[in-house]
Amino acid sequence: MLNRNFLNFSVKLLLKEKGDYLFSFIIFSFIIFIVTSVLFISESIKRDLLVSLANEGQIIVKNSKGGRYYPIDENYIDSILQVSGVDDVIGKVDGYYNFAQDRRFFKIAVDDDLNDTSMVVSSDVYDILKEFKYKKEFNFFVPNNEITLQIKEVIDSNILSNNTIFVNEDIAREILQMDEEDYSYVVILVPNEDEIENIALKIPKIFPDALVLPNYEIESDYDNLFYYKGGVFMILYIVVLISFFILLKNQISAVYGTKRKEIAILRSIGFSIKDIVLLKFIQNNIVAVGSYFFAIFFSYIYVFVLGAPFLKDIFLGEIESEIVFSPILDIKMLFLVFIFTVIPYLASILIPSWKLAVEDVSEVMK
Amino acid sequence: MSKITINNLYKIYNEGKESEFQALRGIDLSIKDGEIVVIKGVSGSGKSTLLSLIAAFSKPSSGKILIDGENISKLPDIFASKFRNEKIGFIFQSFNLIDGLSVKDNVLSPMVLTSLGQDTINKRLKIALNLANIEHKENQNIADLSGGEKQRCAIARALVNNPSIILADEPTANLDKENSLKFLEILKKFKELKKIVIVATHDTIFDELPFVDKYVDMSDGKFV
Amino acid sequence: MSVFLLDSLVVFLFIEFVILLLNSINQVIVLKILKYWDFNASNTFQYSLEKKNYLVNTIITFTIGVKIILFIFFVKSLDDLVPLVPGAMCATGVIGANEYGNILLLFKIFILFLLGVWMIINRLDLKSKELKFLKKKYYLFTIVFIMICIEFILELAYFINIPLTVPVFCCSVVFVVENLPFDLTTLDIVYIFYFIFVSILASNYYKKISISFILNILFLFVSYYSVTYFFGTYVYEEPNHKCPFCFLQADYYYVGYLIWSTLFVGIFFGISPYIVYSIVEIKNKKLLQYNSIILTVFTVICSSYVLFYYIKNGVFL
Repeated sequence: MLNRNFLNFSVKLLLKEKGDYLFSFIIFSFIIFIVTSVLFISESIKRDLLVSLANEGQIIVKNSKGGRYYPIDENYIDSILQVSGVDDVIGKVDGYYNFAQDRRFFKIAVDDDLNDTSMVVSSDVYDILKEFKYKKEFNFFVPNNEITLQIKEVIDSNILSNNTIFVNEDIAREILQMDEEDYSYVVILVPNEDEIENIALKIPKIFPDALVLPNYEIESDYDNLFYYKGGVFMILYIVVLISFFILLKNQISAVYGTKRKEIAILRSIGFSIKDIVLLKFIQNNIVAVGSYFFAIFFSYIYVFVLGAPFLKDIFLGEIESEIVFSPILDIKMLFLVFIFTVIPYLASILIPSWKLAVEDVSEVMK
Repeated sequence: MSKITINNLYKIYNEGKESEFQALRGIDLSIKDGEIVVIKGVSGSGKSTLLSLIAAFSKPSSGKILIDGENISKLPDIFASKFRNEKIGFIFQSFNLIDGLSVKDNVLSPMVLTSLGQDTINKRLKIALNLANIEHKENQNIADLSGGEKQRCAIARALVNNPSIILADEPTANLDKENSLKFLEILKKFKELKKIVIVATHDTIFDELPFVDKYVDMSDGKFV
Repeated sequence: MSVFLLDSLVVFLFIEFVILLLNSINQVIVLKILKYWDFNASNTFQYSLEKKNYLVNTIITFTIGVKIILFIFFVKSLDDLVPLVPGAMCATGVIGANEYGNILLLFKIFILFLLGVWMIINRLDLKSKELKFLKKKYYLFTIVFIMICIEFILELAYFINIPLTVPVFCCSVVFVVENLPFDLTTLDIVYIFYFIFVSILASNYYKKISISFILNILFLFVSYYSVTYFFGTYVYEEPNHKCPFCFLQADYYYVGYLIWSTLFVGIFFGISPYIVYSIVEIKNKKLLQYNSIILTVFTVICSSYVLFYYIKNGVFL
């Protein structure tokens, strides 16, 4: 029978024996901690990608020539504007600058709030610049010219901005050597979602070379990538979980072996088999749910406050070390982790608990 | 009508195996309300087995135990446990308290199965502690008690649910002379409270007590 | 690309497998109990069976809890599949993506339902001093166990056969034609809905378990059509949006979970008294009260959407 007295008593007995549960608590917390951290990181990256995608228009159009990307010129914009259902078409400039000293490319992106002498860099980029003694300003070498810009601000890196330098559009054209009327790509704003697919089909008819990427396609590309990685990880993790639950079952059985006398005492004062099983179920519930919240709390701190050292390297490679994960707390993901870990935990202690409860009670009579 | 009626009771361990052992062989006994019964016999004579069967703690191989007219030996575990919780108070030789809990928690442990309110529970606790003369140690841990105090704590636990039957299995075996005599005083109190008490013992201190209603000698699983 | 790499599916199938494993252990014990149970015997073997009885009860009770959680999780996971299945806009497309989907969903509801009946009989059994209904409840469990096995196979068949390239129909196609039974109009259905609802209340008031049983079954079907074709349109505030799944989504404040769960739980309390009676011959009339209360909540929720729409806009859809 479940009532407050019974619950209090279960907790008292549990606190008395907390040492016995410490082992499973720590290991189980660690297992949940790893899986939650991985999911936090991948959810956060995915969220960042989707948010930035949502800030772009509904369709992205790039130009190609002979299979290679090629700047798109202003005529395209005017023609696409004629397509019915299109609200606006915006030309965008971006590209890569070859930082030859360190044999790497920086992404150049446009931020029109900047003036002709300043730039904003991500913290990852800033770390690299510092190594080459560029602490306040940086020189871009372009054919026949040198552009010097002040570093106005250093921003946190996220998955998209980690190797990016922001400059205004004119400077970007200079660095990337693009003509006035050229753009790297254009984004199309389509207010009515149902029209996106139709418009995406019309554009290649006007420009056979155009590469058209509607947002839902990019989104499902992201999704597929993350489902795939997440799924493989989860399948591997099942092996870890199963080994843990076998371990847990043995450990609990061993611990319960030493508790025979106590159970016999409880039986002698009127606890039924059902009551003992319930008592053990409550205690294990407290341990499992306790580890669950404990682990989630620490993995939140680990990923979003400490920036997930070690795990980040596995995810992103060591170069992108300054990336900050945007904090998210997705209830559905937490529900998933709960089902994945707590339910099998409880399932694996059912049989040991019952065995303990039906143990021969004659010991108590000696 | 008798409160407890035992009919032709047998308990056989490891039935059909080579190690078969007959712990009880045809026990008949009837006890009226408020009677105190002392079962005497050496260890291994079947006293403890008999007590555990009366408490519906284990089940007989054949025979009947009627308590208040109900055959408790066939009750499913849930009913047997409820019966034990409400009607039986157990006092053991080795006290059988739960280590690491306070006197109060130990005494209250049978009550966690009831859904009584806090007031009733506290009242019952007071009465039980008082009867067993242990109220001054209420909040002490079991580990800090002497043997006699542990015994009294166990008695308080046996009384807390106000059972009508008290079973004592070698209650004085772990006590010194002084504490054993104190136990006899408590036995008298039980008599005043009109409880049935069944004491299984081989201690001579229980011999020829004026308030004991019945003495039975037991040997090899039979009354002699 | 495979749906089996979707992490919610991996987790779902893993837990379903754990439950199947636990219940297989259970079934072995159940068969033993069914074969050798003899309440009047007083040998060690019979006592060990009695003890095992408690293990079986514990596992089944645990199974019921997990199955309820997994059912909600399953419905949520269908939403996860929406972006992967071309053409699907909500769970309608996903569940209808192959011939196993709808059967699987019905199976799940039916299993939960039988487990609920099992639970009621178990309680009655534990209350009897001779464990009178023990064999009956284990025959019932054996049926449930077979269904759980079939369910697992159906789950695999369903997920394996989800098309990732061929477009499926979305709800606007599946439910657009008014395929109501017996050529009834939507309005007829709504009248019948309220008529049966009132009849159930009356029948429950007079505690007629067999009449309530029949009325509840009718009400289940009528409610399905009324919610999909009538009340749903008021939730969406669109006369042509007819879908039993879309309102499970966040856009409609998950109200679908409330609507469907009050309906199913309510119906459960309406038809289980008769089924329990036909198995163990005990009339459990208290459940009919729950039936009345929960179905009233269900009807009030559905009606309030219509009412509020009318108050706000002065017209019906």
